[in-house]
Amino acid sequence: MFPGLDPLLLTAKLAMLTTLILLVIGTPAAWWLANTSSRIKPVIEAVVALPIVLPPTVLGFYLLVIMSPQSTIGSWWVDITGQTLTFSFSGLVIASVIYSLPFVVQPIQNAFESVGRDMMEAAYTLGAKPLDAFFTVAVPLAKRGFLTGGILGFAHTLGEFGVVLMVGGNIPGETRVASIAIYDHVEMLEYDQAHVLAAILLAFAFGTMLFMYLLNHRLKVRS
Amino acid sequence: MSASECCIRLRRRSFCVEADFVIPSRGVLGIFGHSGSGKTTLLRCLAGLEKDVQGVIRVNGETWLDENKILSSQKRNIGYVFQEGRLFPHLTVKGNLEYGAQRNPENSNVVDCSHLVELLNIEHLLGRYSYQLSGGEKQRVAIGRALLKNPRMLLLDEPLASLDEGRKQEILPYLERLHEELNIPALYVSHNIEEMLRLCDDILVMRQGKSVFNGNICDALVSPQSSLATVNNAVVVLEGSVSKQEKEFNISTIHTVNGNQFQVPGMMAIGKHVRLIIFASDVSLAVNRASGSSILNIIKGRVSAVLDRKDGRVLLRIDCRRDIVLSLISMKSFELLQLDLDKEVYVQVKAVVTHGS
Repeated sequence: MFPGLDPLLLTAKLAMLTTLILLVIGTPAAWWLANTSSRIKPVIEAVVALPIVLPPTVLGFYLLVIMSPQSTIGSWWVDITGQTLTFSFSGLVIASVIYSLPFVVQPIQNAFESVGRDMMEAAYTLGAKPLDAFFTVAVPLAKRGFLTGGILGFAHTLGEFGVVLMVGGNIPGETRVASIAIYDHVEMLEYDQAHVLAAILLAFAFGTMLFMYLLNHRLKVRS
Repeated sequence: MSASECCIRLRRRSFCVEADFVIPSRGVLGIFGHSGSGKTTLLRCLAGLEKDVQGVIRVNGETWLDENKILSSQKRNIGYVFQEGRLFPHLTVKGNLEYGAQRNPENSNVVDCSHLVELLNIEHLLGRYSYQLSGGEKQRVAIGRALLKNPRMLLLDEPLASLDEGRKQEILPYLERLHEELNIPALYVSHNIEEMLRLCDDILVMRQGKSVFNGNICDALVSPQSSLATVNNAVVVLEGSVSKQEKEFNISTIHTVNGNQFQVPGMMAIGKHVRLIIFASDVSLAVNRASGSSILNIIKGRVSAVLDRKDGRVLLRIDCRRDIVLSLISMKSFELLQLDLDKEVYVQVKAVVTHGS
């Protein structure tokens, strides 16, 4: 394979893994936020939303501190895996999950909120247990939220730069994702290579957004 | 099957619902009250949809609620028809009907699906989604969905409230047929006394969150406790059967259980059981038997109670043998005729509405 495209493959792998993890942990979080009347709900919502407003360097800095081998979490990770969390692909995945969290949780939370208690109550009176009702009523009715959340989480991870630079550095095949590679190429005045990567990212980003809006439109028409 | 009992209390910051009543083992129990009287909340308590309910609910010997036990909604085996239907928008009509049927905890004695689909006339809708249905169709599907689960009790929360008059008249016959065929108890919440009269056998009257009357609907209509017998909406129901037809006049004669006769328009089969609904505003009184009157139904009775007075009108209870009729007359006539308790009167009934059952 053309070696210049390695960062692209790494980016795709990172984005897919991040989105998958976010869907798994973001769904229960979104369900809790959509249904709780707890007093700490605004606090949790604010924490989830932080990565939207925080400069990536700030987030990256704190993550670097938390994940460094000198910290509790970082040294614990070194003990079990033998690798450091910082400047590794694993660390990048963790950072991406936190960085893209609001983009997955918020659309799913909104979708669950619009499903409302009414439909769940109808399911309960028809004999469905809570988990059964969740998978057969709430999830299908919130599918637009899952679609939006999944695509936004994926696309947002593709575009991350600051956090990766802080936490992952620039190790080829390990943490050198597309956005970093483009930056490098430009630094070294390799505009041709930068053009190729940038064009592919642009085309991909546009394609993803177009796909999302088209699908969203179709689902809206049907419901 | 034993009757079921329900004695519950729910306290919330802004309101409180307290009710104590018996649910017959079959037939329709109407839960009547004005909006905000706690009818829907009461039904939700029975369905297990409200938290913090105290008291006892026992249905057919099974405890749904007591001090030590709270059975969840999905284990109560009820069929619940919500005011707005609440069909699942992501499933077709068929999918909605199957949702409950597939989760039926007791697989025995399964309701005959094709018969029910036919009874509710929803066969042609099976492939559609709820957004493709009219309000009346949605409610028919919602009723079918609740029944296909083969519930032990059917709970209906104002299933007709969201429909216009035409649609209501379209669904009422289906509900009446269900009433005849259903062998489980049904609770029917409504603020419309006419729906109650057509569908219910017994009634629970709610006022400001409390149950104030529980018993036979005919008794409720003339009982002071039920507060149904007021100047604004007084009506009675008499049970009887058709004894004679007069084809040339298009009139049938109905004998009530207590031996009074009423002539009503329309040809009805001899022997057919019917309910006569007589509004107090259609009943006038005379102290002498009127001769040369166009009114066909004149029966003798005795004033047995003055139930309500308001805006220059007075509501009287008249005992005619053992049938009870209510009459709404003006205060002025009341004075002029020198009416009083135990006074003999002739009851003139201008109009009678009949419902076959």
